[in-house]
Amino acid sequence: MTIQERRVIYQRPVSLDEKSTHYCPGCGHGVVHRILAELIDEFGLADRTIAIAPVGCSVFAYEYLRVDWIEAPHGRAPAVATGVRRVHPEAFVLTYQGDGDLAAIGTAEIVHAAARGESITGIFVNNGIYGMTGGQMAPTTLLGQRTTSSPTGRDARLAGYPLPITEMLALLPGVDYAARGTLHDAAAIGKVKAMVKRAFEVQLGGGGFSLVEILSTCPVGWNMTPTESIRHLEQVSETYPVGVLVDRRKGLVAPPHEFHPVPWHEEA
Amino acid sequence: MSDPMPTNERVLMKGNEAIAEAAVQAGCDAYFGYPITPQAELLEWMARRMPELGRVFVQAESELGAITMGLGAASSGARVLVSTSSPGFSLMAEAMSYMAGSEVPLLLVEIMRGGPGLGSIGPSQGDYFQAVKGHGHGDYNVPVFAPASIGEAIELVPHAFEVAERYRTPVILLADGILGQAMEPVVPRYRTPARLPSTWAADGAKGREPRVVKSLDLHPENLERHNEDLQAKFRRITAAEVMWAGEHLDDAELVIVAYGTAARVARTAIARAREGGLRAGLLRPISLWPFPTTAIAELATHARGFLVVELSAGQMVEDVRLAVEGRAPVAFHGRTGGMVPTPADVVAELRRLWSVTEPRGGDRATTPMAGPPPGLPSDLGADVPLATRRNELVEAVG
Amino acid sequence: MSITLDTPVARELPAALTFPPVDPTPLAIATDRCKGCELCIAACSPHVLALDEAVVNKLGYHPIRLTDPHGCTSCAKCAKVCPDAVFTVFAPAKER
Repeated sequence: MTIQERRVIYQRPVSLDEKSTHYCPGCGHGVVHRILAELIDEFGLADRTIAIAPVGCSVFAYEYLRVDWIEAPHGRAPAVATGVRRVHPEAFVLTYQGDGDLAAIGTAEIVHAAARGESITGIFVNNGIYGMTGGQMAPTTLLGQRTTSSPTGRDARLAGYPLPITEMLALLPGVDYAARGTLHDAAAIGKVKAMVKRAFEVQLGGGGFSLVEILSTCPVGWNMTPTESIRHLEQVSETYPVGVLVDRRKGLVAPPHEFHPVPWHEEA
Repeated sequence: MSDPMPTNERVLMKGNEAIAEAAVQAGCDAYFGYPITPQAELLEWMARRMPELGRVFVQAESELGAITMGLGAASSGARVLVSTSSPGFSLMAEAMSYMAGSEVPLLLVEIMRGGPGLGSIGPSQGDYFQAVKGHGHGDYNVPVFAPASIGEAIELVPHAFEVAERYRTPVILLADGILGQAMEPVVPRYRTPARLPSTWAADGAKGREPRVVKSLDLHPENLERHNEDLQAKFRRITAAEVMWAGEHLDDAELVIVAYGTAARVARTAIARAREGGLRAGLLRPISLWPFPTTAIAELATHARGFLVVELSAGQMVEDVRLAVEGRAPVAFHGRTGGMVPTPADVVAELRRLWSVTEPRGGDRATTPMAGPPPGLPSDLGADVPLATRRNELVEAVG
Repeated sequence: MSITLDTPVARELPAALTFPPVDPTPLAIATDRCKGCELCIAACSPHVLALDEAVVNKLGYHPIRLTDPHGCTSCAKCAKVCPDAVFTVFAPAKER
């Protein structure tokens, strides 16, 4: 039997461009792009997706996912998506943002798009750092974590606490689905895909705002090898717990709870 | 609020509402805005009319939200209106630059108020620099149209949409708080411009190659080429889209250059000056970019002086001086803070200008002078204190 | 997940296969896209993946190499963790 007659278990999705990405070795963006492309293929959405790209490392997402894209100013993707969604009721509208884009400069836009219950799906790639600009502290950087703008470790007295933006958004009635996954291993990646799939279903079913936060890596910004950065994700999920926060269309609503950021600790 | 406006009847309309209805009648698909004085009525009119027609209205969380919602809707092919006033315009600067770079058409209506900073809610023309010279970063221009009456504003709205879509550029309709707030009788000349086929919008890749609407290109060679294309576009706009109106210019020895409400004050002042035998005329730019440089330069060969009147500390006067190129003296009169120049003050300035200038005589030489003639002050208005005076607003309007 | 042989893409395999078509190995690797991040090595349960230190690809990295084709179980964990979509995974050779 030649190779062409063998059953394919896995291959690169059609909606993912063949070109090599500019992302660093081991960067989580590549995995998230792939998951989105798989789902766009599986749901047959390539023809009606309008995606909004952020400012950050994934500013070039439009090179890799073969759908229509609009570039947004830094942080404004949810507002740009609102404009698109309102004039194109038939489109599938997707935003793709990093943690600096969504939770710093874009805080107002994401809160209000969620509050309005805009029928869009937000992909929130959280690697706790500003990667594109060289590895500065972000709102989601862990307490005690060293970055180029917190060289001695994030100090709550000076730089405040990490922001649980997804927990905050999950409080809003307009948010039909909010979940957080991690790219820690193949099984966790499978769960991320299930979360994004559920978010897609919420939008396709006429629901409101859906958001999936994905804890991702930045090996270069964190000053680690890719394999070490995967292990670091375990610490990140101590501050940012993994799971479904709300799925209002299924009646799953997590009660408001306290947020306990856990300081970064050296590995044993 | 009153019922939808009937057309072809003379009606009393408030400026903000007239501009809004003109956009509705021009086929505006989506409006995004944020409350700010003195244009909140435009937002409120759209809040009622757009949902009535099944079109899009969103009051955004801020002007940043409003303009970027507009960017999104316009990038996906919709005909979009956003409105604001001066402080909000500052917030919109970034998105304007993005849309200029991505070549996205959108109409922004800016109703100017006193500044800088939070300023006042009185009328102003203090955002001329901002609108014409640059609100956002980078090498670009956007067409700017300035109505001087509510009827003209109604006509400029569809024209502005057409220019935006023909050239794929944001366009600004620039007015002051008086035009936004005043009520005037008009016969509204609404118009619905035809749609151009969309070859560029990101509206869902339906069986075609995906499109990307962006302004980023990290390769300097590519970005330079893109900038050269943009500059070529701006040259085409400059060649084709200049608009201005002249009054009493045939025999004018002094020319007032003014736009918007200042032009209406000037019109009254010119009538009074002519009663007294002083032959003044008005050149009223309607397009502030592209600026009527050529028309002013031609007038400069035989006018004995120019008086620029603005509701500002002097912004358009710089462009007038550039156009005049030293061929004639250019004086300035302005008020800031929400105050409006009065016809009496403008007449006084005309008389001062007359008294310090020379007639051009029979020799209508076209060779430009190297600079102002020796002995004349370079800015005839500079030593006139902007003292607090009665605001002759009633006389100024029409 | 699996994609059946009906999809058009399955018939047009990428040119950068590292093994001859007759070899019933379960893995096709686009070595020109691999960045040597080694995440697949950590994910591979049978430990049959390693960097090919004899090769430097056009991106400047040592690409990944399947060290033991018969040890691969087609679990596809490598494909799931790979940020660069380098792997195409086939069913084991024994399958008809």
